[in-house]
Amino acid sequence: MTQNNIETAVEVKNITKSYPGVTANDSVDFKVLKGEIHALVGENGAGKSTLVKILYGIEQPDSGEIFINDKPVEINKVDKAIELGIGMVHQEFHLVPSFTAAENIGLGQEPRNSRGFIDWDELNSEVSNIAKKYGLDVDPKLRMIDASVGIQQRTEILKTLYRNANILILDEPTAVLTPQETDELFEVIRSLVDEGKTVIFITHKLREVMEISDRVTVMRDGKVQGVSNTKDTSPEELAKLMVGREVFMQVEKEEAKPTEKVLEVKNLWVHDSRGLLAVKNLSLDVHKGEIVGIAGVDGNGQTELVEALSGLRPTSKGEVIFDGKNIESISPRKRRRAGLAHVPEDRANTGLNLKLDIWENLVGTSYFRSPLSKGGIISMKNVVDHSNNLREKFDIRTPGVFVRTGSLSGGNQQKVVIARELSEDPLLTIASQPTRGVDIGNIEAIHKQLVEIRDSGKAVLLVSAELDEVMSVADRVAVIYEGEIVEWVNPKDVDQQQMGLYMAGIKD
Amino acid sequence: MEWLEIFDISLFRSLIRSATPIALIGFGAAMCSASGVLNIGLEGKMLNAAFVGIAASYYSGSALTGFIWGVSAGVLTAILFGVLSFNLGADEVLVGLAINIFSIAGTRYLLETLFKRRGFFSDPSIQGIDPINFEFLVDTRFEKILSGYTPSIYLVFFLAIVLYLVYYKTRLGTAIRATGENPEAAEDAGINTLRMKWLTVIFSGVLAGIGGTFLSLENMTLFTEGMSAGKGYIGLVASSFGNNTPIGTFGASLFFGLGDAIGIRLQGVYELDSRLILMVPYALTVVVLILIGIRQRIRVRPVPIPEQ
Repeated sequence: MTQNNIETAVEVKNITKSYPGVTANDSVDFKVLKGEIHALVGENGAGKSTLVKILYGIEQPDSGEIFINDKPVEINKVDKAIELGIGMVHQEFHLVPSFTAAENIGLGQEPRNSRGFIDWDELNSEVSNIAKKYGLDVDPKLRMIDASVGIQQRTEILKTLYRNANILILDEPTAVLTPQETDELFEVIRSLVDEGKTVIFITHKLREVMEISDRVTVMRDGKVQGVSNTKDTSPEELAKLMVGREVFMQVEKEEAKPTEKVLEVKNLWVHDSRGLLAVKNLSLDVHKGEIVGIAGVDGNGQTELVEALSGLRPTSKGEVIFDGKNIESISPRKRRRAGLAHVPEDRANTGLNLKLDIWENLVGTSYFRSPLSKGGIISMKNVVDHSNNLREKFDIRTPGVFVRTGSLSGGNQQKVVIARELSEDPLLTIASQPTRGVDIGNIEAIHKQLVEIRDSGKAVLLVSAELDEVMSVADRVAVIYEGEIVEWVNPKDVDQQQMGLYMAGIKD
Repeated sequence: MEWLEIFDISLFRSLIRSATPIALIGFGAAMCSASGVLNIGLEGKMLNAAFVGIAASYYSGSALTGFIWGVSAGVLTAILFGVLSFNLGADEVLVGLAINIFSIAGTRYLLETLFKRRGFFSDPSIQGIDPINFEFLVDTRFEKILSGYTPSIYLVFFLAIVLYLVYYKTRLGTAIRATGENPEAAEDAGINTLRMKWLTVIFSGVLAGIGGTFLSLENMTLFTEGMSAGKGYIGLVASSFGNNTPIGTFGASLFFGLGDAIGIRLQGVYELDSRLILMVPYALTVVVLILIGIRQRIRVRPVPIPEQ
């Protein structure tokens, strides 16, 4: 429902913002009409975040102009943005865990009684009223520690509405939701627009752009690549604009030819750091020559399962048999020696030391072995040769291996992890969220690599919250919900709707 | 049971006196922790205040002047803590430690250069802060319990209530708690988190200053080297034991005060070695730290795996 109304909610003219060594926004023009749902798409590092940070007053542009409701404005701090009626729901929620929904929503602007104390009853009823008006089902007295991700997100949206936001910026709001929760969010967005709000929706999921938005702006390398009415474009065209070349949306692979069993997990129980059961009586097996996928919404035990398998977290009960031997109580290093590789989900903290050079990360798991070390002393020549070989083989884009790992792009950092993990030719590679924060071009390359491992007769366990990824890369998929496998599916025989139900723990 | 006889009004009075400096430090530490600042420099702030308080009282002959200068010393030390940790980005814990060590050495140096004394300083011209006697309580049954304490003791009770109200019922309180728990959420709500941290640090400096002058001008009228004697750390433990809440911290401080008071009284009853009694507050601190550890462990006690 594109509006023909010429009034604009947001207009940005010729915005440029540079950080040392990179131009994040290069003469960007961006226009959002009043009452529309405007999708802002682009890969990581395309400049979307910088643009909305400028709109929300977190960053200041080097040059350019901003108009809100056709009036020129200077947004030099967040308060100013809020005053102008701009609200933002961040990708990482900004909620105080021990506070209730209402306490979070009212934070800083709580209603006060005549004695200057906060009137909590008044706040609770105000929150209930707004929630009702926009169809957002949230209990004002629910503590955020006890709230589901969906409710936390609605609380974030209510926070902006409580502050009278008319222009809502949603930063990758569907990344943490099940397909059903996504549908519910879309309902909410539509009712917001019906009430006269304007929504800027940031995403890289093109299916969602097609479903929810009225217009779409595509960014790449800090520049706007195109603006169009959503109904006049297609996912393929948008993908091409985002990446700058044709993209294969589907992973090309042949039928899997599984051989003998390499990993067997029997009735595994794992506790999380809070002492709660994160993995409950879970069994699965992985064979050589196949990619087994674990699908599910983040936070359903995937993290703990992978940590338990790779040796980073103790198992509480059950067996993990790898290559014929029980490994549940041996160290991560011994598991690696036995042929188990692990690409962790948290690249920046678990996967890499970003302060170290690339070569140091590349040999982090093998530096102590000959020929990289001789008699307890690292042989720099061999280490550098080894690192350069990996750099070439895995196409790590860097001026050299003596470069701080943290200076690489997300995609190239992930290549460093994958290069290190695959350098020892493992029997099984556990890849956890391997393409999170990686740009489309590199996602393609990583998917291809996983298929190559499989085709060379090795095994892959792929854990991903990106449903499209699991469904297109894996040969067999287990859907995990609250630490249990709800169902095993063949990705070819199941549709999105059905998967959504499984991911919500609902089985026929 | 003769030992039961120690539970009388004078034990209560001794408990309150022992608990006061711990509570003053504890309230400051609790507010700092609530805003996300681990302020271990309170020990040094207190010691500086104790010394400056007595020096000012000695030179001016006025207890009030001593008090004002003492509190100012606490605040100035707090400002030093803030500048080093917030403006210059140094590690809070290291800054706190540095302040504590510097204060021990600094007060000793000034003691020797200004007063040509070693170990301690006492002089008839030092004016202490007098106890407050409530006329309307004279000859009532409450006189012995409620009257005749020095001002800081009444202040502690007052603060417990005021801070409770601020903490849970004002925008300032929610802003401070949000700053400590999720600074991004606070910033998002337009709260200046740096300002909140400064506020709690300065507040803790004021209280440490009052605590310091309590030691040197109220409880006694003298200064001894290192007279804060770990009370800054015990206050920190009290705030932690009390979950960084005003009432919890107050309760924990009374608990420490009780331990201290019982120790002193038992000395009289059983003729215990005085050095053993001096150890009581520190032994109690270790016990409380163990209790805190156990409490944390109970919180993460793994849920049992159901039988199949």
